[in-house]
Amino acid sequence: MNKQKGGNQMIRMSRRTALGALAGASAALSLPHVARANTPLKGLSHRQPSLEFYAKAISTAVPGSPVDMTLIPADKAVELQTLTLSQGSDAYDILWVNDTQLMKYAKNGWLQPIDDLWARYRAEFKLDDYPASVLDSYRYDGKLYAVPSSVNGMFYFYRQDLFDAKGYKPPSTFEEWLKIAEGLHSPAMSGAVVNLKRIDAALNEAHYYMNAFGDGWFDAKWKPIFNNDKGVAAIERLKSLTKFAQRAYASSANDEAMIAFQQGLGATGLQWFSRAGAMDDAQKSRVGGKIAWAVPPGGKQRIVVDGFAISKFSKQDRDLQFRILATAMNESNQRAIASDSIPSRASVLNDAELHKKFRHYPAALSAIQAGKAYPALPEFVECGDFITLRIQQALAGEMGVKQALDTAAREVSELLTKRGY
Amino acid sequence: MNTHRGLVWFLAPSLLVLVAMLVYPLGYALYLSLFDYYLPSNAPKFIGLGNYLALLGEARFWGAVYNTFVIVVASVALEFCLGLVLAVGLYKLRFGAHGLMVVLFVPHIITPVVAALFLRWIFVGQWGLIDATFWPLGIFTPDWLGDPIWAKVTVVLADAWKATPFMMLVLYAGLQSLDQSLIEAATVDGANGRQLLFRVVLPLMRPIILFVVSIRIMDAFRFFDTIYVLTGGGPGTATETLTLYTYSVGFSRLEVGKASALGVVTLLIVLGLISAFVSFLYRRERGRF
Amino acid sequence: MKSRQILLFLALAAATFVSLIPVLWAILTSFKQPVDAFTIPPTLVFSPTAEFHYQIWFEKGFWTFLINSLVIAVSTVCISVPIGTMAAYALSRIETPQTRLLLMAILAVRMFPHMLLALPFFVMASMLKLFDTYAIMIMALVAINQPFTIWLMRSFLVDVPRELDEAACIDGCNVWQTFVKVIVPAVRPGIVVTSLFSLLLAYNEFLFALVLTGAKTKTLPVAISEYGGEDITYWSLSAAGAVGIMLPILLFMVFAQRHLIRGLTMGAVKG
Repeated sequence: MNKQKGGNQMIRMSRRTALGALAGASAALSLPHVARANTPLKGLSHRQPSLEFYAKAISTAVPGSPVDMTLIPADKAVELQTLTLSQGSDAYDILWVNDTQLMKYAKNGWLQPIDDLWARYRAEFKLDDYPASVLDSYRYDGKLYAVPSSVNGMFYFYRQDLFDAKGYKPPSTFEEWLKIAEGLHSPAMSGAVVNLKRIDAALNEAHYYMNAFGDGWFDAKWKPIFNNDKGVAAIERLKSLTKFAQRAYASSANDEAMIAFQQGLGATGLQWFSRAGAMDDAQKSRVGGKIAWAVPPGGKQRIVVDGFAISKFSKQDRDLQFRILATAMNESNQRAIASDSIPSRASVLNDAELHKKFRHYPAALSAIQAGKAYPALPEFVECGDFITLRIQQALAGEMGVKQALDTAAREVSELLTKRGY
Repeated sequence: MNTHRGLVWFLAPSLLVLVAMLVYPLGYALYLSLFDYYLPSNAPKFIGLGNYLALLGEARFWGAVYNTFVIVVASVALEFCLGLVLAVGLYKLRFGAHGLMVVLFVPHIITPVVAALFLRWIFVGQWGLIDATFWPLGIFTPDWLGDPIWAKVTVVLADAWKATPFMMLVLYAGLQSLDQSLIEAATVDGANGRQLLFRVVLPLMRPIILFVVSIRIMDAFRFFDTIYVLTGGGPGTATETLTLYTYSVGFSRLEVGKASALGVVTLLIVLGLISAFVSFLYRRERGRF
Repeated sequence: MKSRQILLFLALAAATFVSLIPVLWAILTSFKQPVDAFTIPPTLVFSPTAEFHYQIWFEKGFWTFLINSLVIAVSTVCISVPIGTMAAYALSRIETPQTRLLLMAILAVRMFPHMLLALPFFVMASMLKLFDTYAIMIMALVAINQPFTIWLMRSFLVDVPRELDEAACIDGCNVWQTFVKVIVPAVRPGIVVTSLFSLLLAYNEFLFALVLTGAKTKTLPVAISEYGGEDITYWSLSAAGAVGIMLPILLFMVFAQRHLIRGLTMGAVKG
């Protein structure tokens, strides 16, 4: 703040002008930072309703140990996490992660393995309640890295009332879906709500097509196979559906898809479990009770797990951090937010009461069975930068689907070779 | 020269800050641009001009250069014309001009991240304000964000919305400070309004015009938030500019070395453009910016 | 003549209205329930709710972020404008090839993509142990603001006749006294204009604030962007926040309007 002194003379000169007000306000400089407890824990998470709930639970989990949770949109959260972790910074102690981020961060050695803590607190927090299959999604190289909060996944949203009126059933093949989308499409109603904003939304959408109708993204040796004939046909399918999609689908993501459904402007589409509850919320939605859900034709749509991990660079007590996370994700909390997120604890997940209470549960549970996670490749989202761009170009007519996927496959091969695959 | 004694020291505080805060980051970027540096690896590998050569051989890079030029030129030209019309209008208006000016300035003060969201709410299909207003009347508007050409237009309109007030304010100031006697002389000589503007007023304002246009070109090259929110560079690559590409390389793929090279290339392009402007200015105006 | 003036006024007023539509729409949105926010056709009649404004300021703690923003922006202006004015004065009086080169070099900062400065800034902040402090944010913004401040102030200063410097010199003032007693008062309106633009830049800065601030020093643009998207309720909150964040600047503009106009009419950049 020494620089301030040099400026005082100037400031005094212009005190009678409007600048005077500024100079006066500069006294605010001497204000202490807004008072807070000494070095509280700091956390960084993506903001969406269920994660916001968990952030709050984390910040109040252990009395006397508040956690400052920063909640920002997913893309920025990942950027900020990557930036701070890559520099070995302890700017954030607790990190929201999904399975893909977890792999990437763990591979780079940015997270603390928590197997020992898990064993130590097994009984206290009833950790055996987590099914082994769920925990596997939070492991990298055999080590456990995060406390699970929820399972999320995409499923097929559709307008029950419109389907009934036309005698449609939830489609079992893509061709049926296409026909339904065409049949329901009008200027005021998109036959399908498609979200291809890069990178995340587009990669989610493409993941379904590539796995349901193609052979998936890679072979066993991480060689791209998404540009084979079936892959090309899969993206051709996506392209054919965009004829009945909402405008500007290429820059649309989950938030706008929600508005499209809630305002009654969309008839079908892939969307997340965590968005289903809000369809019946009268404060936000005009279609309460009219949306129903199913597994999309062919299944293999994306499923993902969310959880919270501890930064490798955190200087705070790791037992305390683990206890905070385990408390925040206990049974009663998972139950309290069950409307917006599918719980990962078996005792909550298998609670028949919840299945009755929330209309979307039966379809969501089937979708978990049918779905497919991203490839276990820490660099998948980086590959996705190429893949989604080329798919966008194919959909915009800048190049053919085959050419687009070939280009992406070449770029992805180069990238993975450089990363040592 | 006597008055200049000690004047050099006036540069010291400013240069100190610039050196402390910017020489390192800029130098670091320049340095990194010579490396193959994947951020998580923490192991930069020296590759000389490899990043630059790779960029020059990429269709995506050239596409981004092209888009940037189109969007920057169109935006700055549009902003200049609109800004000039508004400034002249305000200049001629004998009542309420100052009040109108403050209100016209409002779009410029909105935080960029938020401004982009506001514009998305106007332009997005179906429930965006424009479509939602006109569709029920049976009027079908262009696909503002989904059509490759309209997407460029929308991005230009968005930039113009935000930056025209700046142009207007500075040009208005330029008009106010013109030497009135020259204008009166021209009027006495029988010049009409149009001749007055193009033959007398604009030539007199040339330095200020070049200043404001240069500043706007620099800022337009860094134009990011609005495009990112409105079109994300799409559809396809229709609105992918150099900054969006830099974001993709640096933040999505974490190839910091290559992103730095892109930054340096961007800097050189802008520097070239601005130098051309300034040398033009020097020639005509005897060493004044 | 009178009717032409009225026509001109109406035309300008219409332009003003059109340019304000996005802002007005956002203001309306901030008072709507999410379900009414984006309808077809647009909802103009609704029962307004101040719920989101209340939430933003009182439940989400935006007033602390406002204080952070003001501290950072005002301090930036109070440092950047004085030192920039000094540098600009020197550069307006010493015209050599070296100073011209320096002027161009300073501008280079404004041409470099700012997102590439985010990482080095963060590295510096970590090394100096200044992450999440006002100091690092203010330093960064002062540095980023210097090119514009110097260039704009220089264009005011080249218009101040050198006879003024010389007269002061004959009166026995040293350079500093000349600057403070003669030059600064002469360009005071210019300082107001430069301060306005610098204030805007510092107050609205997002990327560096995202990277350099944490819980203790978070600024309003970062706080608002935290509500960008994902759930429509957040959009109502960001609309309310966006409307709120404009108010201090609007107040400043109304307050400084007279000086602003005078500053501009004094020959902002008439070169």
